[in-house]
Amino acid sequence: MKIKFLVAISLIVFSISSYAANVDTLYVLKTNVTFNGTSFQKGVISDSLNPVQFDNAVLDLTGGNTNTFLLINTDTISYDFYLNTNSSLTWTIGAEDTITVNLPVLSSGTHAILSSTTEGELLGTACILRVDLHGDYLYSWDLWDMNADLSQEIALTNVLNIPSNYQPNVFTINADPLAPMDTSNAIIYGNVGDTIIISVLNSGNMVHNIHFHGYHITIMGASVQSNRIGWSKDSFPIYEGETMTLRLVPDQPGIYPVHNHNLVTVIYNNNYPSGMMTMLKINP
Amino acid sequence: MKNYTLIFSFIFSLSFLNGQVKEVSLVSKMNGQKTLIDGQDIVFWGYGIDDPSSQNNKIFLPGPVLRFDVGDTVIIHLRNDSPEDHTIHWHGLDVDQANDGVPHTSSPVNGGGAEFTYTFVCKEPGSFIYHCHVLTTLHLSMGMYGLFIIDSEVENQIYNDSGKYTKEYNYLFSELNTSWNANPLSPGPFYLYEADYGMVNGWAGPEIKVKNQSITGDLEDSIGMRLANTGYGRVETIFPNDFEVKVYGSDGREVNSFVTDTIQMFPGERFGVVGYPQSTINDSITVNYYDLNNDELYFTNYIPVNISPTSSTISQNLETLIVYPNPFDTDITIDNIGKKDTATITDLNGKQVWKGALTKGQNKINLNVEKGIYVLSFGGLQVKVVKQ
Repeated sequence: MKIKFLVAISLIVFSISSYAANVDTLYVLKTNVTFNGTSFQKGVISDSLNPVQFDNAVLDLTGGNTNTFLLINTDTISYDFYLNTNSSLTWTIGAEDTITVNLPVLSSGTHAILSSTTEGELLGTACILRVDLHGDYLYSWDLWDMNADLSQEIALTNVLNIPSNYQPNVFTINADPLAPMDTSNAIIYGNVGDTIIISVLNSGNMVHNIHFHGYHITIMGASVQSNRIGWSKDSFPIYEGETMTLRLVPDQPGIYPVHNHNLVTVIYNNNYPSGMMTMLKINP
Repeated sequence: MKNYTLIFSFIFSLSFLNGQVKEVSLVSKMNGQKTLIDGQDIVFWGYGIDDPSSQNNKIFLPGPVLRFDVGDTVIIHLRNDSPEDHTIHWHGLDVDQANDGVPHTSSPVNGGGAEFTYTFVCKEPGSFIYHCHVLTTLHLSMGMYGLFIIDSEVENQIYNDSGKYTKEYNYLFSELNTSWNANPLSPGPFYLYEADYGMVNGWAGPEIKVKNQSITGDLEDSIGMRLANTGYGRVETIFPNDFEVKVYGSDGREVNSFVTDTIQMFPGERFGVVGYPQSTINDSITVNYYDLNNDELYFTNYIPVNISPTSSTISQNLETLIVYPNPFDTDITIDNIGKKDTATITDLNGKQVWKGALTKGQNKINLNVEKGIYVLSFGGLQVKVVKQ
């Protein structure tokens, strides 16, 4: 019992320290990421430059309050940003400039700051905002897709839109194309009976689809599919730019995959399983 | 190649009681052959009923419908009669890890005849999918999937508390990337997958009507439909005017019901709906298949819907009873019986040559009669059968 308690405490500390930025400053950047010999460009709102974190930051905000943070643009182009749940709320930051981002009181749930600048939009430059979410564990998944060669052209500002013959070959969760591996911060740890809250953002360029093995989840919030709030599902889409809040209460122990059921996305470098697949590891 | 004229719906339920232990034996193979509507011959991999003594020991695209009652304990034996490893993942059934069918967390079923037995309880009514989870991107695309239905506690009702119907039609939507089926051992980079063929219960284009997938009924009917998408793209079902469709659930769980004329189904999703004819209908459900990479429409199928003002006629009923083989020698199998009732077989002069009860699920009739045409009548439905 004591061991279980210590494991639970350590997991909480791990999840908070790993996924929620506790900083006053965030950084806009483009970075070349290499996994298993394949490189691609990724846009990021990062919570650290030393070392560079190339997965988008996650901010935990308290409901009922306004919030402020400093945003530093390390890139040589300017960016426009907006809130996905209120597109009239916008920010512009010049090249290598610094601004203060003032967030109004936001409703409980998952929101995201997204970029409307071509490079930021296509390369998934974003920030997840978790507002007033409570559970035994909080996790976040940021889903993003890209074609590796195309990403290099986007970074060179040679691309205006996703082409009609788009064939992505990079699929990531939290900027990691090897999300099933133990090194991924996408893996969910918990215990039977826990309340696990998962914030999900699709910062990619196409609809993605999530399938849970072993469990149904409850859709607690969805910025696009509001008609599905309250549904209990094992397979569901998440649209481009959409944020969702999922509640998982495991009723059985085990190790189960959770993955995109467009099965082209669970590949990286032609290896399976990779890409948009990660694991649920639930203790008794 | 031989065109299979039957949907092999393996229904093990022999009574209306819940909570029984039911057992099914499946086989997985990689030697299926199918001719597409454009004449192209393809190879598919899949599942069939494991019955080496029968001519039915073949695989089908999709695999046989597996159907049980809520509360049943299911024992499913898989024999892998193929050169590569396979499994069965019970999509949406929330089984335990050992029975989840994922090779690296559960157990692979090795090629060359290895066997594995899956055991689990059917906890919730609704529609589910089963499919191979070995190198899933390829194996599922090659055809290793089927529909799994759990009937509710209430007869002729999709869920325990909602979805009452008088007739039912169940549709598994899937797709092919035909270049993979033409050369499955060297499919090329997986990310270049591009579906180019959409199916309804394994059929496409004019086959859908020929293979008895049409919806027929009259104005008094309510049409229960279980819809499932096992492809990698979006499937859009657009219902005809005057066919009011109400959604009662999704993924094996009830939702607050709502009326719609279109359902968007993403990979792995299922819906339980009932259609209520508002007038006579001679139209179709349009089934559009979209590529998720670019949201482009690449295939369309049509499911005919024929709603008559009065009780069904013989010509309509010919499409609703699944009877095979037809022509037959001595035995006839009748699938998808939803409710126990009396059946009769008469010759064309009206002389009764057989009478008996058909029970829920699959039934076999042994019929020793002279060569000729006979009419099987059951529950207001009729179908011609031919003794060869």
